[in-house]
Amino acid sequence: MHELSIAQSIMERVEAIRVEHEAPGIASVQLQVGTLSGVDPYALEMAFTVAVEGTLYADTRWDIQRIPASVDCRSCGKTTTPDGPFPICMSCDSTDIEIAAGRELMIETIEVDRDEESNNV
Amino acid sequence: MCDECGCGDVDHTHEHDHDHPHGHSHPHDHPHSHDDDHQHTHDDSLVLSVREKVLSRNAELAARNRAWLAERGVTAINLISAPGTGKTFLLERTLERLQGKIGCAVITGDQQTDNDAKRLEGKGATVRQIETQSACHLEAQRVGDLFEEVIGDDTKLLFIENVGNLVCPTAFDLGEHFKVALLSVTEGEDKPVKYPSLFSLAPVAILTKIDLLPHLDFDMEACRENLRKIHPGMFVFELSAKTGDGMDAWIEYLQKLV
Repeated sequence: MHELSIAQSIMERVEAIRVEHEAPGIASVQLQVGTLSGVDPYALEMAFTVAVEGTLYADTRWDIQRIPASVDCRSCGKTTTPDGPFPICMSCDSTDIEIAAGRELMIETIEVDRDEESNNV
Repeated sequence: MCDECGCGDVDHTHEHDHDHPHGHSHPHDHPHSHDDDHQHTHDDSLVLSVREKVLSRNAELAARNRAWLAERGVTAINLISAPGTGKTFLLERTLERLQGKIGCAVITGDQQTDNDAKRLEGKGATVRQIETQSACHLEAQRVGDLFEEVIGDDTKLLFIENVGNLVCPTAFDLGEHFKVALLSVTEGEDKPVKYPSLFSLAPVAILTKIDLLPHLDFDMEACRENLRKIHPGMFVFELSAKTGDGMDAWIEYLQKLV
């Protein structure tokens, strides 16, 4: 449900970067979303379709890369990949774990359109 | 990752010579650094490496809120639960019990109406309502914007009553000292394992409406077991704001915080 405001935050940040680079538009944005980030990638995709309506970003491609979780268990010492949204050791069910990956919610790269002038340089 | 050497270090430069086996060498440099503006070009576009956390702006503002509160010696508690768990009613009774003893302030969030603020007024605390409209959670900026209005010289405790929602508010740090997860016994003992993100982050849980237990099949021991599973060492209160059962322990706990 909060994916809409996440999408809006991403668009605000991307817009600031677009203005900074004086780019006419943004071709694509690459995002990383960890399975423990609390953000559902399908809901986020849906949120973008709503949030971009009538904006400069109507044709921007939002590539969402899912980052699998990885947890190091302090009880059994194994590193496993939880299959759900909750950090738990898949080997011994312990919750005494260290999260090594999966909390990511990041803007990785932005592909900005170049105006015609700079193409000719 | 660095394309040049395949390492994970994104902030370094390469200057090296290449020796070729065909009898001569032509040394040349490839200086490059991968900072935030690292870029490469396609035919008609430019790819910028950003590597930035999406919620970094909220996290910054939350850190600012936390520092502001710490400077003034105010403890802030972020109350999170599903709608109807009894956050506002518990706060009403809590403010009544603390009135004249501890200076309290409340920021309460709902999508619409100032009903909660009205219910909480007249109990010795400064109360402000945030109407979030479409948003399902509070964010650090709107909460922090109200600090100067609600927090006075003698304020020691700030209660932030989040929008009724067991999922989304968990993702947004407000700069509070800790989160308190509320769960009413009518919601069922399996909610902690069904909605683990909140219960894993909150160090304190309050099981509300225990006066209804005789009418329900709620298994208190199973609920506590579920909480322990999600959050070992979690501090759990059982209370009824209506009858006052269990309220003493909660009030005593709050008094020890300040």
